[in-house]
Amino acid sequence: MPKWVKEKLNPQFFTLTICVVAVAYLALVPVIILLYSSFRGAGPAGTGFVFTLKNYVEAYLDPEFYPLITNSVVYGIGSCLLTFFIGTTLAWIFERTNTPLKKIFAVMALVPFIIPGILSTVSWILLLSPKIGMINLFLIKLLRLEKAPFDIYSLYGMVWTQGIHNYPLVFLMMAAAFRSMDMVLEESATMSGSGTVSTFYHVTLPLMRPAMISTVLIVFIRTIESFSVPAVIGIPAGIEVFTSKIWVALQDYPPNFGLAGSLAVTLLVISTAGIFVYRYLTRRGERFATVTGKGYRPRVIDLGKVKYLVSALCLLFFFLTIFLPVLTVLWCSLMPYYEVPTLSALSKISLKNYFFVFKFPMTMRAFRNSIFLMLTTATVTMMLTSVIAWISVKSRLKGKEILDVTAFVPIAVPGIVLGVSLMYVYLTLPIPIYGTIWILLVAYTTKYMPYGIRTTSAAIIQIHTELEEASSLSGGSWLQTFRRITLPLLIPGFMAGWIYIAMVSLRELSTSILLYSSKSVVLSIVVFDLLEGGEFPEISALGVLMIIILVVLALVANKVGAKIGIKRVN
Amino acid sequence: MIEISNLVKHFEGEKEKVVAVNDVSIEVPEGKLFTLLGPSGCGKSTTLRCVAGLEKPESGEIKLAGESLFSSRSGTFVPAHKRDIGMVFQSYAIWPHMKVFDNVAYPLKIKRFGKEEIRRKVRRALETVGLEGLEDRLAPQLSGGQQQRVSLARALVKEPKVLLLDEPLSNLDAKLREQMRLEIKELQERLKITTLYVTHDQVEALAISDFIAVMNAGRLLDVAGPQEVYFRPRTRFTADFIGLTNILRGRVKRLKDGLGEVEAKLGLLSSPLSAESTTGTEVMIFVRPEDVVVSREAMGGENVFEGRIKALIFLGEMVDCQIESGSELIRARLHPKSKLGEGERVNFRLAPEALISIPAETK
Repeated sequence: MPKWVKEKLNPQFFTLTICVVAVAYLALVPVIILLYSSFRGAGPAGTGFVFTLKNYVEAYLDPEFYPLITNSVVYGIGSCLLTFFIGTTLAWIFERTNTPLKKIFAVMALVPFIIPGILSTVSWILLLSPKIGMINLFLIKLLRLEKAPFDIYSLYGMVWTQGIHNYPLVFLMMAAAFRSMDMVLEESATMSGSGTVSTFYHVTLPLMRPAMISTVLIVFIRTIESFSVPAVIGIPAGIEVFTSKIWVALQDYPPNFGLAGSLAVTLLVISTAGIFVYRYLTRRGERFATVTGKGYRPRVIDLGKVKYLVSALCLLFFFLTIFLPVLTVLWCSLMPYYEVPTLSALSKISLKNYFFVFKFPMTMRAFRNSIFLMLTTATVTMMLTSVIAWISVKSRLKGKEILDVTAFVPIAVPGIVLGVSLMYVYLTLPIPIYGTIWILLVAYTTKYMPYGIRTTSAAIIQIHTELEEASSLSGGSWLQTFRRITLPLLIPGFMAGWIYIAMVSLRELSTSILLYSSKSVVLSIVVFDLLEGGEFPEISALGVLMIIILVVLALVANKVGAKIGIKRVN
Repeated sequence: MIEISNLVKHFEGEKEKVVAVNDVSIEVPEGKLFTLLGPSGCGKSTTLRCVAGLEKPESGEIKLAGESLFSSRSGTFVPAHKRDIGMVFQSYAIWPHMKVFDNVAYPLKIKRFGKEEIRRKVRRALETVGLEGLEDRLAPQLSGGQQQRVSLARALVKEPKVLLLDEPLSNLDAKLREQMRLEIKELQERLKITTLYVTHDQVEALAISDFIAVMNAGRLLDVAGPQEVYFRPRTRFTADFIGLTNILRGRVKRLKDGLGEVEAKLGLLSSPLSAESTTGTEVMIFVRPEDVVVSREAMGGENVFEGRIKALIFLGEMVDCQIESGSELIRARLHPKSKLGEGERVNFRLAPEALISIPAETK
């Protein structure tokens, strides 16, 4: 055996090679095949490659394309502004004011994160639908109106439903931005003779600007790639955006692969551009962050008596946007058919819908599949990404930046686009997993790889290289060091990432919708299917069960998170 | 005990290769404390890490007790975990998920010692560093000084041939640093363990070393005992880096009684000359401030000059005195209760036996 081969034959090299190949396959192949198919004359099942722009020409010259663009833009910007306003206000109240109960509000602000998007959409239909919406019916009765004051089946309904569900992300990002502002920077402006307004304008605002712009951008991208609101509200309302149009094109018979592919590439280009700008801005953001220094002590503004008003408004806000929707779903899940709560309705309460869920074979299968996917996705993704993160943070391997960037590619791929791509991949490549649960595992792992990388590399960065070197000098080999030092130190961060990925896997819809079969059906798909028949009580029962699983996971995550917190003190 | 010959180590910089260690050869005698001293980025830590096996050098050879650890010629490279070396890191690198006992026991567990023996050896190591009774503490519950000691105990527990210390005191506050400095020295002498020590602190190096190697820009400049490095620096860098030195430039005019008569800006100076210097050589003369004798009275002997006190800075244990003489500025040390005042005209003497001269570095 040649010497260089012998040198490479060690566990370190094997582990690294397998992970590198896996990442490249997962992240790049779908995108490449999608591009290839979109420029190809024949359908994906055909043979031979003929370059054509036909798909794009047809898509762009279609008279329906322009409303698609304007709808997407209005939906994206509208919901983004709403989200940004809510999230930033809550973050400011939490970080910079002395509002009573603000610690409870900070927890409440993260609750929408636990509720799956499709359930949140369902709950707003139950509240704001012109026919059955509880708020509408209540207001009609109260004010003796002729017709319902709100119509969820409109562009504004879509903006509201999406915006009101998306703000935890903004809250987290802006709270971090407020927190990392060193008050010394503001104080030094004050000592230089600048007043409150001038300080805000000249110091606070410029320092916050990168964080603000990047937050808006990421929310905009998340909105235009969202699927459940456009599908559940947009399609019945006749308002199509990119994601729902792609789905509709594939529901035709025969499926319009050309249109779906060219729209998917267009959406991919938009979101990739957004991600590029975002990465550029956050790089600058980090530079700003280092300028602010470590010893932050955010300045808390005394609101005086206004603080009680602010507190009351927050309570009202959380009541309307969290308690009311959740209670409505709970109420609906106990009713034989959905109706406004009254004393007479109270007598009809039963657990019948829950029994139905457990008797219906498809939901049982969906439960099994969802739980299986939740556990395997989280485990596989975290194992894969911890090696990738280790390479990109610790090793001096050449080309490790490329690996890092590659693993991040899926973040720019909207869920539905990933679905289209994987469909093409496994209809083209001779790997027989199409229609099985394994294609969903591949899809989820690809989709959540960037999240895994982020949590694991954060955990690894915290492990000082000298901790590993000390093990080497104590006589520990690479494997011993990894097992006894690196891994135990990684486990808290690893657990947090695992739970996060488990949670998002459980509620995944936009990719699964194109890849499931009757055998590999998952919970969110069952909800989506039942919606077509308008079976709200059954959907609600299923939803309540999903929320229970997610709440349990979130509580565990919180516990693990608290433990990490203690370790970080040192 | 440690022999380093012609060691070269490169790093990939932003644009081009950076030579971190450039042809360094060192021999560390058995049982001695040998210090690598220099400013940050001088290559001292890289040299140490090459000995540890944490860096792979480009070329040269490293031997430990006659056995080759690295040799570019024969292609030998013994990985870090197979070297018989204990190391203390700058950050202490105490594993936060293990108790003190487990931290110290780790090297023994790797070597598969028996339980009873591990317990005995760990206890002895902890006693050696004065930490008995803290076995069950977690790392975050220890103070900086205690973490330092755990790190020492862990490095010593497997009874390695050599101990490496990488800036071990730089994270401690000033008082504790002095105390630990003494303890490390005392421990090293008691165990008679060959030690390679890295620091950028010249006082620390002078206080604990048997030998000091001064490094700058990847090169080894001087190797000698602390007093010799201080009193007989062989390069301008050493003279400047260790302590404060007056550096006078001049040209050798003629040789007289084994001394050279050097024409400097101050005037004619009698100074011993290094072997390379002869009539006409450009030289640099070093004189330590504490060797400058200052007085109001007239002084006899050679090398007496006149000047005016430009500034006096009271530092507690002494007064830093700046004397202007022509275009030269001479730094001297005065007793803290000295009665001399600023602006006063004084005489000062640079005793020939306190002067060192080397040929001027041509740039």
